[in-house]
Amino acid sequence: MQYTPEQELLRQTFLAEATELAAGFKENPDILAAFLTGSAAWGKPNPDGDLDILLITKNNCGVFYRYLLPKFAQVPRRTEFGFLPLALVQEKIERAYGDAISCSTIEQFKNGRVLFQREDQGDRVVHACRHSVPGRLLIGRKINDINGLFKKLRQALEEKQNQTVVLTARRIMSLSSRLLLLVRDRLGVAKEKQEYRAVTKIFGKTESTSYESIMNIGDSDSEKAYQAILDTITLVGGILSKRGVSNRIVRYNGLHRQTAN
Amino acid sequence: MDYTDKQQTNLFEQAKLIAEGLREDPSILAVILSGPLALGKGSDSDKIYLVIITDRNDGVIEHHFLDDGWREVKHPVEMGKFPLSVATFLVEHGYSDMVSYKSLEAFRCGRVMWEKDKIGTNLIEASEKHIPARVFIGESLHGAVSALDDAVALYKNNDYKNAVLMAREAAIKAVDMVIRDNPENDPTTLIEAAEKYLSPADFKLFQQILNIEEIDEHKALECARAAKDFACYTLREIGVAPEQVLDIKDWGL
Repeated sequence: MQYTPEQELLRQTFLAEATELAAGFKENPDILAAFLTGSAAWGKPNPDGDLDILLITKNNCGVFYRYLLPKFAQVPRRTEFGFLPLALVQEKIERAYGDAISCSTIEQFKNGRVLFQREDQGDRVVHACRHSVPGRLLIGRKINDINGLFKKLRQALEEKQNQTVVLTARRIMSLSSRLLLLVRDRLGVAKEKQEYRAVTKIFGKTESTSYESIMNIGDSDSEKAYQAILDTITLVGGILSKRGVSNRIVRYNGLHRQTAN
Repeated sequence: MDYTDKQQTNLFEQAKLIAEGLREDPSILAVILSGPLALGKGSDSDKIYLVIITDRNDGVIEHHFLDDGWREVKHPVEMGKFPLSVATFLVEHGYSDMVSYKSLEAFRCGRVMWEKDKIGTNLIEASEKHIPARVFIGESLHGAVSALDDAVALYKNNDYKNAVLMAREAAIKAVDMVIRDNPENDPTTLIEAAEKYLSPADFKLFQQILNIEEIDEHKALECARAAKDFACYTLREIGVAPEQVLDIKDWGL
């Protein structure tokens, strides 16, 4: 991946901050390895983004997260520490993309950056994740899901519900792409935003052109994206205000998240 | 609140057991039951949600996912632990993101199990000015807001096509939340539900975001055909015969 000097500097900053924070756990014998995950580890970090650090624990006292806010704790930005027992991580890897959580776990570790480890525990987890192969049952279930969408598509076509036809076709495209990425390229899409990234990075020109055409994003430029975001902020803000929730949850100053705290 | 439902009574008894067990920890100042059970809507499939206020001064919010339960209670539990200083700050300043929103929502829906010096009661009362209605929608709201955050971050990284996709995802998740929130919850398509539950202006906006407002029969058919072709191509690529597994015969596409 190509980075601008600013992005590279940001990546180095995130890495340095994460390394320093994770070092605080080095003396704890229960922590087997620490990983920087998310876009800071493998993509272009968001300047307003959080630091996401996953820690593998030796004991089996369950999954828990610690949220550190700069206002209260000695952290440079909002930081999330996830504590996952080794036994649970191994179970997720064995499930091999069998559910959304195992898919997310595998992809996080596969693309994560080891900050420290005891013996080679971190590397072993990364290795196991990179060699995880989707099972037949899982593939069958995904094909079933696609077939279910075809039934909906047929009904929408018969009833001439044109908008539903298009939305269902997009869902079929999305699931088919994910299936292809998983089986052919051994890449699980854990979050929606990773789907298009993976399509552009891994698919050939014909495949990605088909994707863009069905998704109707071929001509999406800066202006159109900006308008889509503004419209979505208005829509979500309106829906929230009808439920007594302030729209400040979706308020961005010049498209930077507005933070009052 | 008295529970008339047997499942709710049973769950509440389990929540009481946990709350009593937590008395052993001297750093805990209050235990508050939250979530559907505290609102009198809990069923056996719901987790037991607990808010715990502590006297710790490290400023760290802890969120425990106890899928196997806690001690003798074998029901899934979610436990949010807040230092009093952080909880007090939140009720004084309100929310600005999903962590602070979900925290305040948990306080607002709360029912005190036990407390020292009215700490839990005061937090519940103070949260009302930020969360007027006692509703537990934070979980589904989180998906929509995260997608919108992603759209904004992608836009700033000049990734415009993905930003558009994520903005659409946020809009769909927000409408999904409206559908789930609706008691009659008719089995309709997303578009029918959006038309039914959104105002006409919001429905128009929704169609605009999804870029489907000018779809005619010809375009819809073209899109369906392309999706079918890609799905068949995918299956062949992974060594599966599409006509054997997809119900696409006699389609005329």
